Amino acid sequence: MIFATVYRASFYLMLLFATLSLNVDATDSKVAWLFPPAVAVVGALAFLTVDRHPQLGLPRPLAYGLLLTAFGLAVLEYSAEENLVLALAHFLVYLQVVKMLLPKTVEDDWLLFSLGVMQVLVGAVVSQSDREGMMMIIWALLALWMLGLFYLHRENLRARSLAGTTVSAPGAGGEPYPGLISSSFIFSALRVMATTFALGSAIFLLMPRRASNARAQGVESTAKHMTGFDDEVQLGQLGEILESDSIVMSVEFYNENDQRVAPPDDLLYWRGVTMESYRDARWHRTTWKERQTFPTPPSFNRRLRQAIKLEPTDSDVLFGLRPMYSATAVGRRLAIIELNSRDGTIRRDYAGRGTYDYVVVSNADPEAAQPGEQMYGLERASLLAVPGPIESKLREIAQDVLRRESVAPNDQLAAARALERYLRDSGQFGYTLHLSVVDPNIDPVLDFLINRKEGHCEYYASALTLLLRSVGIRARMVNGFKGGDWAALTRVLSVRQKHAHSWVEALVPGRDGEEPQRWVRLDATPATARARSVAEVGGVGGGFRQFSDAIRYLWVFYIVGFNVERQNTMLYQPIRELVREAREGFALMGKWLREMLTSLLTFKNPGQFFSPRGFAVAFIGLLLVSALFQVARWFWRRLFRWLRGPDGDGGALPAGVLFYRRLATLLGEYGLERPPAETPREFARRATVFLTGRGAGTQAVADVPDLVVDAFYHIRFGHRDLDSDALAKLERSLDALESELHSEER
Amino acid sequence: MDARGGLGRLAQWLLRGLWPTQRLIWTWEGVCYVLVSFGLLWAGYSQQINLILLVAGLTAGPIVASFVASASMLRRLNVSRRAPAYVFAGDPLVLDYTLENERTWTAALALFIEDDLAPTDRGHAGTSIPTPRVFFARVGPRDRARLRWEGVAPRRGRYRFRHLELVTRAPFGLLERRVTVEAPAPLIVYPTVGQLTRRWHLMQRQAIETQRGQRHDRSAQQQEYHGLRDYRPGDSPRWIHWRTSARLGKPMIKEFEQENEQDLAILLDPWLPRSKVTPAQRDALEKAIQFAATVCLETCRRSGRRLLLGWTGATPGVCQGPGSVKLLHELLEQLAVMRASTEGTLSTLLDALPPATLREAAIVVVSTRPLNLAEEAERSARLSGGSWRGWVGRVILLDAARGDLNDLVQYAEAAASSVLARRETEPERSGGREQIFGAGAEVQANGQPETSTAETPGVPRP
Repeated sequence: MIFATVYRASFYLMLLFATLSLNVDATDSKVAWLFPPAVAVVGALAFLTVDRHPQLGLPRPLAYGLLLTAFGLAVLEYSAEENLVLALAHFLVYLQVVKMLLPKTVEDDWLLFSLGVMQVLVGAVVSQSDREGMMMIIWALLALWMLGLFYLHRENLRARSLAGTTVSAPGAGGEPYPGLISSSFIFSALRVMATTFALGSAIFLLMPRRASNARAQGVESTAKHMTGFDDEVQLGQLGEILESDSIVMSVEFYNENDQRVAPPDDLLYWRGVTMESYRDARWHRTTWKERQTFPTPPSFNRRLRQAIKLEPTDSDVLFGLRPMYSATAVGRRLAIIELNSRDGTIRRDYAGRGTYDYVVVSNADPEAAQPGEQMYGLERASLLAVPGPIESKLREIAQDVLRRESVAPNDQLAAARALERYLRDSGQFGYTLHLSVVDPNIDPVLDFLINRKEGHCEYYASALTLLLRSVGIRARMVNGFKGGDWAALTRVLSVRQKHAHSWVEALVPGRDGEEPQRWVRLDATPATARARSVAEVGGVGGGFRQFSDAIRYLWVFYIVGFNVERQNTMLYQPIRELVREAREGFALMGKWLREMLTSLLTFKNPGQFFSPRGFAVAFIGLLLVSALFQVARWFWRRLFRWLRGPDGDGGALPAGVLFYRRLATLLGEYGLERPPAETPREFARRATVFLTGRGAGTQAVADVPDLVVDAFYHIRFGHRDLDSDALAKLERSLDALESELHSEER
Repeated sequence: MDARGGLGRLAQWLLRGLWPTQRLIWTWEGVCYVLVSFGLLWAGYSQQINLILLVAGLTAGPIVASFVASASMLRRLNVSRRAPAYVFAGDPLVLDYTLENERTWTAALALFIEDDLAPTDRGHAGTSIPTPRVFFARVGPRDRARLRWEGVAPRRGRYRFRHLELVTRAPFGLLERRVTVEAPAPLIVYPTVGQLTRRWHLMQRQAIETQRGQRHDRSAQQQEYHGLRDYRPGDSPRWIHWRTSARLGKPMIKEFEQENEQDLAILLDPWLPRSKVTPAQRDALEKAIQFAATVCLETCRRSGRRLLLGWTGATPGVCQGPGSVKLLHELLEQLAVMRASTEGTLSTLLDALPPATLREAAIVVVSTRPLNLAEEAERSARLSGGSWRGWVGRVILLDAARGDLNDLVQYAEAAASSVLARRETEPERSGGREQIFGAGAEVQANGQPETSTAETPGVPRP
C-alpha cells in the first residue's frame, strides 16, 4: 500500500504546514505555538491508527463531544485575548484535528483540504512576514503535490465501481498504481507543479491592482522597536542592535533615467536621527521641532532615487542618503513625509504597524548642501554644549591633538579632520561590541578616551562630537545606518540592524563663494575593524546570504509590496512598449516591402523588361508559380487519397488478419519479408527457421508465426471466428515475440 | 473514385471538423474549486490584500494547468478495441482494450476508456445497451496494457461500435478531457439459442415417418443405410430388421441417414398485431425467433443437409443452402434483425418457396398466431388441387403464443457461443492436430501448456 501511505502522509504534511502558516507569526496569541505540534502528533496518530484500520476511528459521540469542547476553547480564547479572527482560525484547527481522527471519505478529504486553505488565508491576513511567506509557499507546493495524489486516489475509487465488469483488475496486492512512485513520476509531478506554480504566479502578477490603496501593502503586522532611534538614547545602547541580523529596510536604486543601478561606490550613510544634547551619558534629540515639507528641488544632474521598503518599526524616523531633495510615501494617499529643517531628520506622520514604502530622491554628490535645512540659528548653544565636569579634560585632549597636528587656530575644518584622524587612525583606539567600564566614576565618553580606549561607533561619534564642541566647533551626532548587503542578483540593498552606525556632522565655514557655513560629515570609527565586526554578525555564507536576500527581495517587493506602480513598471509598460515597437517594426517592414515591390515591378516600357531586373523578376515569379503548383499538387493528392478512403484496411478487419499483418510487419523490421510468391504457411515455416537460428531467446517464440498463420487461415479462408481467449493468447504470443526481438536488438 | 462515397466522406469530414474530437467537461469538484478560487480572487481584489491574491493565484494555477496537463496526458497514446463480430443475446460480451503508451518518459496514469455501442436499427430504442468502460491505472512509458471488459450482450440485432473515448482528469481531477477516437466496428447480436429437447426430435421423427408413409418407395431409395441398433420403445415396427432380429434373438432396428439428411424448411411467421401489442405477444415472437435460431444451429451441425429459412411479411423472404457455417451465420443474421410483421400470410411465403422444398423437405412452421394450415395451403398457388392435403400432413405447426415451443428448446446456462464453437471445431478436432482455437484453446501446437500472464488474470479457462 505504498500509494495510500504516500498519499496520507502528504496530506497530513500539507495540513501541518497550513497550521504553521496560521500560527507562525501569530505572536498576539499565547497559545498559537501549541497548534503545529498538536497537528503533527494527531497526524501521526491518525496515520498509524484510523487510516490503516478505520474501526479505530473516534466514536461519533466522542467526536461530537470534542467538537463542543473545541467550541468552548475557542470562546475562551476569544474572551481572554479578544482576537476574533485568531479564535475562529483556531477553531478550524480543532475541527481539523477531530476530523483527522475519523475514518475519511473523499468528501472528508475535501473538507480537510478546505480547512487547510482557510488556515492559510487567515495566516495571510494575520501576517505578511517572510516567514509566513515561506510557510505559505511550502504549503502551496505540498498542496499541489497532494492534489495530484488526491486525484489519483479519487480515480481509483471511481474505477472500483467498474470492477464488476472489468475482468482484469489493476494492480497486484491491492496496490492501485503499481510502480507509480518512480523517478519519471516525480519528474512529471515536479513539471506539473512548476507549471502550476508559474501559472499561479502569473495570475497573481497580472491581477489588476487599484491605484494608491493602502491595503495593497497587506494587513499590517506588529511594529518592532528599534533601539537607537528614540528621542533619548543611552550611550552604548546602539550596541544592542549591532549584533542583530534583522533587516531594517530594502532599497532599490534608480538613476536619473529611472533605470535600476547599483549603489554608488561611496560609502552609503543612511541618515536617520540627529542627536544634539548630551547629558548624563545620554543623547537627546532636539525638543524644538520645526517641520516643513521638502522645497522644490533645484535642478541637478546626478540624481539618485531610492525606493525604500522599511520594515515595521515604531519609530517615525525615516532614512535616506543625504542630501535628500524629496521624500514621498508610496501607496498611501494621505501620508506626508516631512523634513525637520533644524536638524535635517526626515519623519513620517504615520508610525506603527506595517511596512512602509517611500521614495527618496537624493543628489548623488554627498558634499552638496541639504535643501530645506535652515542654516540660521545654528549658533545656538546646544551645538556647543559639553557637560561641565568633562569639558576641561576634553578640551585638553583636543588641543593636545591639534597642537601635535599643527592645525592653524582658525581652520575649523582642518581641526575637525585632525580630531577625526586622531580617533580613527592613530591606532590608540580599538573597535569592539563588548563593552566594559574601567572607571565608573567618570563620564563614559571620558572613560572611553582615557581609560578603555575601545568601543563601537556610538562611542567614537560621541567622543568626536564632544571633542569638537570643546574646541568651539559646532557638531551634532547622527544615528543611522552605514552600507548594507548588496545582492547583485536582485540588485537590491538589504540594510540590517548590524549596519547601524553613528557619525558626526560638524558645522564648518563654507567653501569660497558658497554659503557661509556648511555641515561636514565626520566618521571617527575605524572602518576596517567595523566592517570585520559587521561581517561576523549573522554567520551565514555569502552565497546563502545572496540567495536568502533574493528570496526576501522577491517576497518584499513582488509579493507583499506588489502595487499598481510596480505592476505598471514591470508588466504593463513593457508589454505596451513591445506592442508599440512591434507595430512600428511591422509598419516599417510593410513599407519597405511595398517600396521594393513597386521598384521591382514597375516597368515604364516593355523594353525595360529585358534587363537584369526583368530577368530577376521573371525568375522569382516563375519560382513562386512553380512552388505554388507543387503545394497545390501535394494538397490535391492528399485530398484525393483521403476522399478515396482507406484501401479496405479499416478497423473492422478480423483480429486474426490484423495479427497476421502485425507478424509480417514485425518480421519485416528484421529483414524477413514475404515475397508475393510465398504462401503465408511457407512464410511461417521460414520465419520459424529464422527465429530458431537467432538464439535461445527467440527459439522460445519460434512457433508463434505458425500459430498466427493458422489463425489467419482459419479466419481468412475458413470464414470462422476465434473466441476471445484464443485471440488474447495469440496477442500475448505476438507480444512475447516482439519483446524477444526488441530485447535481442538492445 | 466513387463520387457518392467521396461526397459522403467530405460531409463526414466537415461534420467531424465542426464536431470537436476533444471535449472538456468540468467535474463537480472542479466547479466547486473554481467557485472557491473566484471567491478568493474577489476577496483579494476588493480588499487589495496581496497575500490573499497570492493564495487566489496559487489556487487558480491548477485550473489553468489542468487545460495543459490533461492534453499532455493524452498525447502519444494509442487505444484499440478487439470485439467479436457476433455474439448471442444474453451471452457474455467480451471486449479487449489495449492502451499503448508511446511516450519515452512519462507513464499514462488513471485513464478511462469508454466505448460507444449503439444499435443500427431504430427499433431498438429503449433497449438496455451496455456501456463498456475500463480503467487503466498505469501504463509505463513505451509499454502497453490490456484490459478485458465483460458484460452481457444486449438483445438481438445489428449494433455498431462507433468510437472510443479516452478520458482523463489529470492532473488534479478538476477538468475532464475526452478524446474521441473513431473505431467503428460492427457487432451482430444473434438471437439466444438453446438445445433442442428430445420431444422436438420425437416430433420431427413422427413427421418424417408420416411423410415416409406416403412416399415410401421414393424415400427408401433416398435413404442411406447406416447400421443396426437395438429396438427402443417408440420405434416403428416397420423398420425392424427381421433377419438380424431372428439371428440375435432380439429386435434390431435399421438406422438410416435419412433423418439427418432430409431437407428442412423453417417457415417463420413473426406476426404481431398492428396495435395494442401485449408483452406476451412480444415474448412469443422472441421465442419463435429463438427456436428458429436453435433449429438452424442444430441443423447446420452436420454439413450436407439443406436448410431453408423463410419468413412472412410484406415481402416474404427466403434464405437457403446446404448446411454450413456460412449459411448458419447468414440465417442467424437474418434472425437477429428480423422485425415483427403485421401483414403477410403463410400462403404468400409458400408461393415464394422452391417447389422441391414444398415437395420433399420437412417443414416446420413457427408462428405467433393460430394458423389454419389447410386454408393457407389452399390459398397458395403452388399447392393447387388436392396436393395440399398431403403437404399439411407432414408439416409441423408450432404456435409460440400458445406455448408450443416451451418444451422444445432448453436454454442451457452455458453460453450459446460454446455450442457454435463446438460446431465449428468438430471437424478440426477430428483432423488429429490440436488447435488453439475455439473451445479447446488451452494447448498449443507443440503440446506445451500455455503460460498465463498477469495481464488477464481473471479470464476463465475452458
